[in-house]
Amino acid sequence: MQRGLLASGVLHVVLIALTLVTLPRFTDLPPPAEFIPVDLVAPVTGETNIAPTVKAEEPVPEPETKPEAPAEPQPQEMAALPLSPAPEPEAIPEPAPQQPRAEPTPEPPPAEEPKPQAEKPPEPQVKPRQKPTPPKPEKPKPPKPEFDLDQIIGVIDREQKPVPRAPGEQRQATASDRTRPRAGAGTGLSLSEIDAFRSQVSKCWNAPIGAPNPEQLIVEVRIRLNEDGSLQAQPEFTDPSRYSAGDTYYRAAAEAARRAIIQCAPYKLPVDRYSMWSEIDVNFDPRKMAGY
Amino acid sequence: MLRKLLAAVAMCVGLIGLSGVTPAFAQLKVNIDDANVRPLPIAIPDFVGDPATTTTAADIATVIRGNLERSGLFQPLDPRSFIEKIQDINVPPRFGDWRIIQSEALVTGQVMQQADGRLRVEFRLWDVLAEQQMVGLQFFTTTENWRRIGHLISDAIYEKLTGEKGYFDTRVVFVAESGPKQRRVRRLAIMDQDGANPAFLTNGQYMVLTPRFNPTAQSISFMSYLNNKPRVYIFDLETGREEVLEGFPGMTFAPRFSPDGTRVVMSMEREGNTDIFVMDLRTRRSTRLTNDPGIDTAPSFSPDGSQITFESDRGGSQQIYVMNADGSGAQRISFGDGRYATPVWSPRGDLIAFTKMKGGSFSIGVIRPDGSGERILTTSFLDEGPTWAPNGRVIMFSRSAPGASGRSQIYSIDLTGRNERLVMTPGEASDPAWSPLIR
Repeated sequence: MQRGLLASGVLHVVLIALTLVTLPRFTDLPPPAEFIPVDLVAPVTGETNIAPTVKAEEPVPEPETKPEAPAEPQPQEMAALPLSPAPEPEAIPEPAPQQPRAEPTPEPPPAEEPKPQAEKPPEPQVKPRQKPTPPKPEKPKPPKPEFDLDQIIGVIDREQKPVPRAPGEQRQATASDRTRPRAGAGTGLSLSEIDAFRSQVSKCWNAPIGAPNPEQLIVEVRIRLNEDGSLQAQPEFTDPSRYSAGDTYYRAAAEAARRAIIQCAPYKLPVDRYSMWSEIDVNFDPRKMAGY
Repeated sequence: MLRKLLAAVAMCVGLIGLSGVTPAFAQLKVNIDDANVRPLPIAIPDFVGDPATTTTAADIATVIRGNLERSGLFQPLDPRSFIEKIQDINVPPRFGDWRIIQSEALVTGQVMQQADGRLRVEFRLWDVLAEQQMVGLQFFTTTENWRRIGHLISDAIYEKLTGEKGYFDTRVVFVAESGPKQRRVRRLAIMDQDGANPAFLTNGQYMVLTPRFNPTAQSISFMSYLNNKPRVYIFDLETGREEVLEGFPGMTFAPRFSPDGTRVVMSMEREGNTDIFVMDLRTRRSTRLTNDPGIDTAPSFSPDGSQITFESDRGGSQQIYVMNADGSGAQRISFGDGRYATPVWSPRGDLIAFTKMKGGSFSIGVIRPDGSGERILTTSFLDEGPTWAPNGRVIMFSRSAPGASGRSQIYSIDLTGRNERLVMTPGEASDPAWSPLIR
């Protein structure tokens, strides 16, 4: 009887403990299945985006001849010529990324520039494309939790004993870490680590102030990072349709967000929890800035 | 035994977990709501030219750098810091070279003389960090018109990087002042928004006040004392012709065009009472909009033409009101300390700029049309008469210094209140009116 009571008590305690502590660990599942190993289309060196505008010999609305009025030039004599949708096939011959550029004049400093990358002082912006890191096949996913009783027992055991830390791992869980709320279930990063990331991005974000309706200029950017915190690829807008919808304010806001991400890379994040931050959705919200 | 029990519990929990009760994998999301707002570093090397256009190519780049710098939103970098020398704008720049000097955007351009003598000006704006072209345009014009090309390119860059239409291809009419304060000569004058190409439109024989552009920037309404009688005139910029708006029994003043340009709203004083009238320019029929013993003046349409803001002392002190365009539903919107005057509706519609008088000084401020969010942008001994840039982000106004020798000059300030600039004018100037974008 007493044994039964004890067992029941223990059971309850364990259940509560599991719910409070263990469960989040259980749910740190690998990224969702729809995660697609990125292959961000063509090299993003810029030239693919060159609208053939400048080459296009579009008939230009002839500016009206200037009236002789000496006082001041007549307006309306010249229209801005938005040539943007010039015929696609006129694509400017893709100039090879950078090296093979035929530099016609012998410029003193970049004489023959063997490898732009190597020459430059180390820059914070790591070029995503040229990164020597071999294309990661897939993130090293933690083994899928199979339903193995022994393993589960192991988990329970771990909850009971302090987990031995890896030799190099410095970080000690402090009381404040335990009491501080986590930034979100399953993120695996402490609030202070997220704060550090946040302030790193904020520093580079030149928010669009002064635009009307800032609540409509919230931009979410998905970034994929390498273990060293550098960008694996160009940041992507999670709502690309809005980006291309023609709202110039939104587009400018989105591009400012993208510049911030690129400019501030690489990011300082705990390597031991790389799987938690290998992909981050960064939400740029300019509302607070809008009050000038 | 206990181990087994715990295992069983764990199993149950595991089952619950697998059945979907637990939250799914959470994508790490981080919200950024704090920014480091600063002028955007932009590199604008001199444009590439052929032997005939080298000077013009450099001059256009200078105009662009000046425009963007004055806006307060950009920081054009010193060309001496540039590493890459742009020689062909049809080859992508070496982005790394521009990143090293902290440039976030790059403008490349070239100016060529065509067989017919005209200029062909091309430019590209690059996002240095994303390594992408943001816009590429070309323009054709006569040689002497190179300055406007600089303004048009500035507008295109500004729009791409801020989302807002630019305001550089615009002009400003103002009252050019000369002579002692007691016997001031006030002439109607016009110039580009950057102070270039100034010209007088009237000869100073009679006094000119409150000039305002029509929506196509083709004509200007103003008030003038001809034979000591104030009247509203319309001046046609193309023909140089001026015409008086007749048909009013009293003195008319403070005219302003409706957004569609078909009407002029103004004040008329008669037997000591001032009310607001609107005149249809096609039929020349005028309609009374206010009928009140107080002084109602300085009317200004909302950009959609549905409402009018004006100043009135009907409530005992000079305040700002908003009413429907037919004169109905007038509501007071200013409730701060002091007196308010010369309300002007922003072309963007979101704000009304005003002059505020309080404690012996004058300020320029903005307020939302519903009366909320009043902000003072600048204050001095005498700041007055705000006028909006066509994009609703910058305001010009007159500033006068105290004393008999105090100068009267035009200043601009942006909506942040942080970027105040003196606008260069030939001599003293007041009462500026910013044109819409020139088309």
